[in-house]
Amino acid sequence: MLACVLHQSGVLNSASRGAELAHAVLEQVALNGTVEIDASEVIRVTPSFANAFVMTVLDRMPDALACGKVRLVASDFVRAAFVASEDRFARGIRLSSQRH
Amino acid sequence: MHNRVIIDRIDLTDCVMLKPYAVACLAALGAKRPGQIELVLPQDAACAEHLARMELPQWFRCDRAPGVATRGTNVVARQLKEHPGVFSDEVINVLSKELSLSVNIGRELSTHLDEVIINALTHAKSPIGCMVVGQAFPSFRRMQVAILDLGQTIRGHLRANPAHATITDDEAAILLATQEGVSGTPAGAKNSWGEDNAGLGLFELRRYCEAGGGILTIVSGSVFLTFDAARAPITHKLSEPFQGCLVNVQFFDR
Repeated sequence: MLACVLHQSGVLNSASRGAELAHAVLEQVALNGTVEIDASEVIRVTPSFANAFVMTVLDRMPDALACGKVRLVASDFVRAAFVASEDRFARGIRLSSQRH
Repeated sequence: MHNRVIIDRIDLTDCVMLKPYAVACLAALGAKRPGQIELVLPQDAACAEHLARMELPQWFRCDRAPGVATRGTNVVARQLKEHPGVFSDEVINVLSKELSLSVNIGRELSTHLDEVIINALTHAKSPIGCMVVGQAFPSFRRMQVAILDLGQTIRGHLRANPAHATITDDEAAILLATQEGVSGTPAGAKNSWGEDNAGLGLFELRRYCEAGGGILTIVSGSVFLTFDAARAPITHKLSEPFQGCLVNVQFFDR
């Protein structure tokens, strides 16, 4: 089955939009097993967006990114923002609502 | 003193130069009571023209503002109350016109600006939102951007989080706020826009500046701190506490 593709473009600088994308991704992974995020037209990503997206996904599905359930198509510059958030999550940094 | 004194008149007669952060402070005072405060522009014609070019008089009663066009290398005083969208990209594009930033550095600077602006709008409880002023200094190969709010101090914001409730002074609060993962949003909660925070905006900006990308100054409460690559953070005392937060950053051309 072809993976669902979620397209993103422009400037991604809203934590709300990062969380929305995370929920859409989780929904598609639950339905189809995999999902592709086409961020090839994204100009830049803020840590707020990347954290809201990456940390929401990893909190619910810790292997989603490592196992290829979520595939990201993006420039190296944009990809680096997501990788930095994965690194933060691995080091124990969490979103405020994930903290206890 | 902006929260304790009602200002009716600002007299800049003897001023000969005002940096972007000073323009931001004045614009913020004007934005608190739009059109109600009298502004007396400097006698120095160049300085008066500069302030007119930065569109400072729009917030004030000002009789003799010279009519001058804005310069392509300045960002006029802009009040933001909602999500900035691509505003930060526009700011960096304007300020870098006569500099030679690489595309990705420009995008990185826009990202830092976004984070500081959104911090000001979501954390500060500022009655004016935030004020942003920018100026390029091509001969020094740098740009300067000031982001100002008139809400609460960084210490006040951090203390809303029980994890940081014991912070007793403004210097410790600013140092803590520039550490990775520190946020005033309490555990289990979201900010005033209903968004999550991870506590990275000021940390990332400080790290960028301390890696040689610029000079960051944060003014809040009774102190201001400066961060750059040359030395450990420097703390200065203010003669009058400042109820709010000013983030002033000089980005170097690189």
